[in-house]
Amino acid sequence: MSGYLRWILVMSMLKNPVYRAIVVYSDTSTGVIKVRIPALTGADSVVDVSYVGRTAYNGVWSVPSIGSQIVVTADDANLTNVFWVQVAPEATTDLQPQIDALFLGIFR
Amino acid sequence: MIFKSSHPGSPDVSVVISGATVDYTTITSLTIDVHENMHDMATITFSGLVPVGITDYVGSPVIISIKVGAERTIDFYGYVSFIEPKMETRKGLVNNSPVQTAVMTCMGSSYDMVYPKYKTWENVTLVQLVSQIADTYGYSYAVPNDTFVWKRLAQTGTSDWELLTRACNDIGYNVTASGTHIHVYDPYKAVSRQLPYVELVTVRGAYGDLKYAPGRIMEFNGLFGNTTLEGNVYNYNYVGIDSSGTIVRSSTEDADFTGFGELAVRKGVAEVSTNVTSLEMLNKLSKASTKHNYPYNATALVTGVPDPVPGSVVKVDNFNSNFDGYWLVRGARHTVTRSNYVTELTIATDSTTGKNIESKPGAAFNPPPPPVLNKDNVWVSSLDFGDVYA
Repeated sequence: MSGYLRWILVMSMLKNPVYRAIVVYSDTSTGVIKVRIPALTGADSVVDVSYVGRTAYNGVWSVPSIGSQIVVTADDANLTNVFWVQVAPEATTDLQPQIDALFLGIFR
Repeated sequence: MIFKSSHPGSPDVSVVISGATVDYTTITSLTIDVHENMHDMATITFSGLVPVGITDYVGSPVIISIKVGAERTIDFYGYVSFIEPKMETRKGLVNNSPVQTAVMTCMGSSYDMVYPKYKTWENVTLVQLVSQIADTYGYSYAVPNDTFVWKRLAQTGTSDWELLTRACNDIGYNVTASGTHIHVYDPYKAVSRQLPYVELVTVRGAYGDLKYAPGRIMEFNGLFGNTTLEGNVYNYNYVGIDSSGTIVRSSTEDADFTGFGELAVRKGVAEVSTNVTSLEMLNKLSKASTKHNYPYNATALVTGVPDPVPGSVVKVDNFNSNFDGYWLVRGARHTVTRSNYVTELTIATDSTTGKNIESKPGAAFNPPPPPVLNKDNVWVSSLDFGDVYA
């Protein structure tokens, strides 16, 4: 990685750092996730997590468990949109071929 | 009452420091500073301060009043923030005190609002934000009835004061906190707000009459041009992405200015990319952008005139120049010594000639109730008073 690109990456991380958040509410049917971000907003404030970048599969949203820790980031200092930083499992991109592969493996 | 001489223009000055023993005759000078988006501030300089209990002053409530004539007055309500005593043994005793000089710095009562907090404000309007903050401290307020809603405002280790000024500035308003009154105003509607108006006249404007009068210009230092100490003056093109993922755009217009005369040409267009929740929010940010920098800036040192406050309009008269006309007051510093009273006004305008002044629709300022000390020795408004104006 060039020095310039590394600088861009570092600067963007400084501008939009990630924070640990505690899930206080989540719902698999609506996708609502509410979190506390103690390092940013203290112990009492609860903020909604944006739907940007998240999708329901067969009407079911992938949400973290209440009480668990997740990693979040935001797009500005007012936390206008708070995003759940997660690695999308491959299954979510195309679930059916993976299920087929699993069953083929079982019956092979 | 101190500092009163036999000269008819001499101001009535009074200083009260509550709960501390003070020999008021040792005060040699004082200043009061009021400025948009800043806490009020005052300094009191003593010559030969009684050293007993010098540290007891810190935190004491203070009232300072400067009055000229029957109605022209500036009042400061605040607390002693810190004292800088200076003791030099070789200079001996002054007023029988080893503390030859001491400068007492006082911050306005709004300094109660400086403690950092962590909080998020969801779906909040300007009126809700100001009224809730004012209620927290027992203050009165006057705020425009702006219906814009912030989806979220984050207060991350910042004070209520910082949040308030940032939020107001972002959407084009200025804030002052005089006494216990929070005043939020649009600088482009200064004429209709009708805060105290003063004419500042030059020697030429006084038609050779060199008799003393408040508001005579003694010094005028200008900085004219699109490059200012606070940044360049441009028009702006804003672009952003709203909550639904749509790219939205907004631009400043030449119709948006103080209306004090003919708009000074804004050269160049600055592009700004930002994050917004809606086109309405982008329009707010865009229209606010020209309200922070003005192409004509000046400090005018005038014979003491107590009434102009940030948001007032003053008329600079008879330099026989295009910059004669109406100016917006951004700050005022009053200095009183035993021999003189002068006011330094920080003023700005975006217009020339002062002809065709336009009063944009808006409501006049309502005088707020005076502050009182509560049982905890904290300044609060004497009445519940909230003015949500058009």
